[in-house]
Amino acid sequence: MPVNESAAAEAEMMTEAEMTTDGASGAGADAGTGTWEPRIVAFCCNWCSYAGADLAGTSRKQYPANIRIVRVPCSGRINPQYILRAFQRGADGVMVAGCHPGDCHYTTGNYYTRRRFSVVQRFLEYVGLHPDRFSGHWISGSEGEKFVQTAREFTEKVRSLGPNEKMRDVL
Amino acid sequence: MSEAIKTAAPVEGEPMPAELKTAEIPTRRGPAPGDPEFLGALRDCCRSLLAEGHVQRIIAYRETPDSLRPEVAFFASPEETGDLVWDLFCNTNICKYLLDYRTFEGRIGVVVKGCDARGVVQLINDMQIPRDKVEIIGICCPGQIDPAKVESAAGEAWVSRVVAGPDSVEIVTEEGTEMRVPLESVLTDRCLSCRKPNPPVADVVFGEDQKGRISDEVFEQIAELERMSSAERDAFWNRHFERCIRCFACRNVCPACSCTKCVFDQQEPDWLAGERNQANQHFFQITRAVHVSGRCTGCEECDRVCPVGIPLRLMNKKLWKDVKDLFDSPLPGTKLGVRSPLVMWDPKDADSFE
Repeated sequence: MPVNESAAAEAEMMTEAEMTTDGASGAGADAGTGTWEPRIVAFCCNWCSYAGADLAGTSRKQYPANIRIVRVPCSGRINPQYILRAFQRGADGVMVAGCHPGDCHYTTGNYYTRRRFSVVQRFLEYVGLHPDRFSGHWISGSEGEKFVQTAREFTEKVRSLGPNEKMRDVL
Repeated sequence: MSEAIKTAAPVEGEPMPAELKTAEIPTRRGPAPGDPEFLGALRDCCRSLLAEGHVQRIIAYRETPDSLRPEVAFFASPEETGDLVWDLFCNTNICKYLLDYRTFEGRIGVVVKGCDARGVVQLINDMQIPRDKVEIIGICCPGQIDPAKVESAAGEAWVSRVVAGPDSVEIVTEEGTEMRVPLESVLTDRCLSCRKPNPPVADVVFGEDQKGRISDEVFEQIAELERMSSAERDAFWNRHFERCIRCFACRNVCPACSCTKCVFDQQEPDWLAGERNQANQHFFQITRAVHVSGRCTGCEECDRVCPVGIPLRLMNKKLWKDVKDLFDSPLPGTKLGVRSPLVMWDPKDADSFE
């Protein structure tokens, strides 16, 4: 498990039903205190990107606590509806991370993801979501450093955009 | 389709069932719409198909008291085909009715335009109905007329009937006055930009291949939207999405929406909540569009049936444009045995991951 505590807290495997009802509980938006922090949901594949986050943790590398990891068995498991639901329930940015092409634990899962993601990314941009709020990354289990870098850069990008209101349910 | 996709396809999925590999069936041809013999020949064709037992049902159109709005009808016996009609007001895409016959023991004939025929082919490719269960009676479509445009051209007067010629239409009002307007001025929006008016697959074809109208209007509108800023696009779509009353007409008519259990009807998990707020309106619209991407045949029936006038074509055509640019696949429904590009992959695909 990653050492980063708030990330770890979100990292339990969830059922689809839980995902749809979980909502913004345990939110770190801190709207009341006046210090806004971006909330970022990262869908990480169990075999590479989640292991990458794990490596970052065991190597004692700090990445922003804004990232909440949702562990999925494969990036191919990421239904576009999950991404929409994350934005609905208060995410300011969503990250999709999987094994590098050719490295999928299930051989070809991430090739499907790549096609689907390309289409969904362009479409979300088309309906008015800021392109910087949604990104995809290939992060292997040995790339703890890349996970940290990606998390930092993405958090800063989203921070500069401010809170997301597009598709948001809980304002 | 690129060579790589062809070679990649058999590796990842199950082989297509044998019925989809059947060679193109030689088609018979009949007179074109507009020919005085056309309607008689179409009725004869349907009558003999039923009489000789080639089909047990025919899905087509029937006259109604409103000459601008024929209705969809289901013909079960040869005697009934006397009021079968096909004119330039057969706007409804009837291919989706095929799914009501999933368990029907017998063959079904469908009278289809180019756009409807793509829907039928898409249903076959999505394995919703076997090819040999459908008799495709295709019509090379000269374009369909929008009754609303005719009525607005007639102004205050009630329209009694419309006589369509090759380039213009004659509108006869209840008072007996006649006026002639150019055909293009009353064609439906989708017909004005229709590139494929001929059925790609058919057992019987009426008319010779039509040229279709090459208009880039939709793609120009899409390009204009793409040039806007995120905030402007957000405002544009918000304005449209907030009108959605979620009647699901767009889903119900769509030949690509053929799941027996739709995500929007599920109770557990309840993906789509009832409240009409920005989040749910977006969730419905985006999910619907994404679910049909790569399988949308571009018939624009969803756009036609939307009671609140959401420009669904601007979403579907955008997705189609991206899918075509990214994966170089043919328009869905134009070829038998083609799988959706989103259930295939190629190691050389464009990569927007970082």
